[in-house]
Amino acid sequence: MRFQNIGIFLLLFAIVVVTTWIEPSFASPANLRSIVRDTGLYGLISLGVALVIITGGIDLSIGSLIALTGVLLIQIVNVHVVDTDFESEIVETRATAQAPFRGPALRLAEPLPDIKPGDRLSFASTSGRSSMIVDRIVKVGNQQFVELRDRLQLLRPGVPLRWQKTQSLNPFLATAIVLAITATIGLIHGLLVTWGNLQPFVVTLCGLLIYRGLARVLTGDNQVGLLGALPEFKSLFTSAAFSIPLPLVARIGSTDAHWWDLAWIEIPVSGLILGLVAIAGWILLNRLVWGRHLLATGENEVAARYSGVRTKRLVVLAYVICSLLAGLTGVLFTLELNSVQPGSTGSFYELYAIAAAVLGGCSLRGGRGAVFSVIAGAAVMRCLYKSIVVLGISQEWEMVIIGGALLLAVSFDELVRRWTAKKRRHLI
Amino acid sequence: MRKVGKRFPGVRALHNIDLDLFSGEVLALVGENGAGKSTLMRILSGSERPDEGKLLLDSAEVELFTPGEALGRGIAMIHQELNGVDNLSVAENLFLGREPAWAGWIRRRSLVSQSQIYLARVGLDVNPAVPLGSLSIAQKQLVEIAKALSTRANVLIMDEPTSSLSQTETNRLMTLIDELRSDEVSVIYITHRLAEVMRIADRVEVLRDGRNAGTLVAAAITHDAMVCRMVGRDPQPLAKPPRGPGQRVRLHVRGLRVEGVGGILFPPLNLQAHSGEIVVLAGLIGAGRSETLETIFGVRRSVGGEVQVDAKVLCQHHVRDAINAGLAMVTEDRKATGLLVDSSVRVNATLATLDRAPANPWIRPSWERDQTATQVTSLGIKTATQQTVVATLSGGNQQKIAIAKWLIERPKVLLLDEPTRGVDIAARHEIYSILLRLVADGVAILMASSDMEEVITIADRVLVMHDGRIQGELLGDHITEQNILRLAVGE
Repeated sequence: MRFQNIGIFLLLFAIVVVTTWIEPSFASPANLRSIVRDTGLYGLISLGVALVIITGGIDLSIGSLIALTGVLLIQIVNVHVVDTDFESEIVETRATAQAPFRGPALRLAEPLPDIKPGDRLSFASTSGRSSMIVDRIVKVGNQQFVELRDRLQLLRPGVPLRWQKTQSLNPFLATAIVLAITATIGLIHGLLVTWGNLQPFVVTLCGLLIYRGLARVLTGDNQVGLLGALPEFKSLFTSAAFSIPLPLVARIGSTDAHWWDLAWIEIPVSGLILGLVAIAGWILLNRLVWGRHLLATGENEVAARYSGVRTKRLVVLAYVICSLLAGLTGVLFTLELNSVQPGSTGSFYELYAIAAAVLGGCSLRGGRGAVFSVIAGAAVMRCLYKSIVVLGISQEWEMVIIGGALLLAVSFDELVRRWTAKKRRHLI
Repeated sequence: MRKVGKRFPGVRALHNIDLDLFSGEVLALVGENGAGKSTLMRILSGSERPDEGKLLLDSAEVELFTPGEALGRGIAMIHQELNGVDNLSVAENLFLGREPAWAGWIRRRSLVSQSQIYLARVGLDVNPAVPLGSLSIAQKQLVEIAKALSTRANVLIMDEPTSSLSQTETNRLMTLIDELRSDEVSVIYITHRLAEVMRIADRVEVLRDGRNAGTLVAAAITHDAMVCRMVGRDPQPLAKPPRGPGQRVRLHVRGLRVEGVGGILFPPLNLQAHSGEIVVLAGLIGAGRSETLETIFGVRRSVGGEVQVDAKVLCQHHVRDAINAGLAMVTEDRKATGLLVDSSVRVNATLATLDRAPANPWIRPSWERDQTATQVTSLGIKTATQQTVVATLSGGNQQKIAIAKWLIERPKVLLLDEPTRGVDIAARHEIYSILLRLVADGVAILMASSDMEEVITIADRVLVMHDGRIQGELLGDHITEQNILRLAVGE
């Protein structure tokens, strides 16, 4: 088993080396950061579906659930703009970004004690009232500057601005509600599969249709977004968690650098979350009785039951975790992309997740799977995608290349398996 | 068939078997379970290859590689296990793979009319268009027989065709066999029911432990002659250490309603097993022994009645409850229900006790390693490492692991179903000594066994089952093969 799993890490290494060799910009810190971010997002759903695959099941509803989660999050947070009576004139403007500002800023005659990022300032324009979104409040001495996301347009000192408050439900509460809903959905999947004795493929295929449909019904099939609100909450999940130094990368990225220079790669929060979930998953599968029982159930459900394993509960648990991780990924995607297209967001993601799990050594017959090789599987898929972008291959080839690589990888795996089985037979 | 031999991993199933069959003859093949009858017939019908020996058909040597080739040479087999496709109709099953067709189109009318002919011959009155799945087991068995007839084979092998048939259906089959004989068809008839043999057979071939054990012709075919040859050897002297009578009732089964194969409900069952006692459930295949053990253990739902362990009534909700109450079960089919064959020795050994280990819910690797090492040593399991995959071990060692997983935490009552099936002689004796050691420590053992020698060697008390009932109880000197066989066939 260990020997087989090493293949996926070699494949990942090979893709990175070959692509970097052809196009050094593949190893640029920005590109590596986005690979880590994407691997984090896709890795979470891959781990979820891997757990279900270990039990011998499958979950096809992940992509739709991501779309539904996004729609629900946006609707539950319910961002809306309320007009206030407060009006004040502009005293001073800074048109371009200059320290300490990161964008255009302005100062009002009367400071606003309660203004917060995500609020708006509206002004009269030729076509009624227009508004600008507040990005940051900056104090310079005891003067309050309002930094804006949009350009200042034609605003000059003396123009009156009206304060519009943005209101919403506490985003943490909304996230908790959404995650509870997805866990319930997983619970329903698990109950239908175990006590309902329905086939996992059918149950989650119906889920795929229902959740995608619900997402479209709830939104009238229109794109929904956070309207620039909750910037703090968003940056909590989309910013870099920490940076790690990598050797060699700096020199590969630019010939000016020395070989011994360290490049600092930002690890986005999604990468950190994946790391934590992976550690939890590894502990579950390798150090906890439940994980051992889960593997036993997947390998031989009857034998596990005859040994006193409560197999049904474990299968239900796997579906709950899978849907919960899909929900978490849905929240992260929504914050990353700012909006959800109910008809297309998350399409095919379940297949990418299943592919990553299979690349990572999970057998669709169940009973076999390891956490870190599944993450390597997800990383292989994202690296292939990035390679296509970086190498300038046209986007239409993406699925062909990923599909071909997957087919090669599993064929190779099967060859290795036959070879070891033959060797084993000779031993007897 | 000349000097046919067959080996399975760990066992030599057939040694130099000779078998002749003349045209228009009914040859009965008898022997205990595991004597090699079915293996021999699977070789003759092409589903198994012999390791040695040869097959002569009309004096010419032939090799049969597939059941299809055997059929092509006029050899058809009616299997003991039913092989029909439940979703297809009776008619479609009869002609599966040989459908009357024209340019790829099945001729439905011809299919149905031909089916009716053969169904009438076996005396089965059903509409050929109904799905096979809607038929009872006995009716399915008759469909299998009709299917074999429809191949117009000149050699028909019947492997326990009457095990699920009622008296009238059996009578009809006997008449049919008489008709076949007059049509110059040769029939090989395998059965445990010696009365049928005396009624129908021209000649009897007895097999014992994979060897020829004698041929009986015409008047020599008597009940005693057959049993004598089936039993053959002198019973081995008992290797049991002297033990006091079982004092304490550890397992008490009261009025348990067991559901047999196909949903047949057996009559209420009562039995007890005492500490320090080995109780053996004997009987023929299909007598309901496995079902009884599985119902006591709780993997099979009982319809009524109760199980007590040490006078505590067992809440039969999940196997886990039975295990917590002190029950353990070594299953009949270790590959399907006993072991995770693709996992390691260690994983298998600790699977049943892991969630009651001191560190639960954590797996403490040192605990796992130590417990496995203890069992490997005390049961003499021959394995390279604890990480060795179980599938690579011999049958005997696999079976020891299937037992070991229940011994990390000593059970109060150990249930075993055919614990030495597919296990070679040496390992078999080691398993017996493990069981004797356990009963000496006060464990009660209830096991099902079809191996007569085993029953006699190890049993303190034998309960013989027939059709889901306990037909009789044998103690001490009364535990003989003759007595067991007599009760097992329902006398």
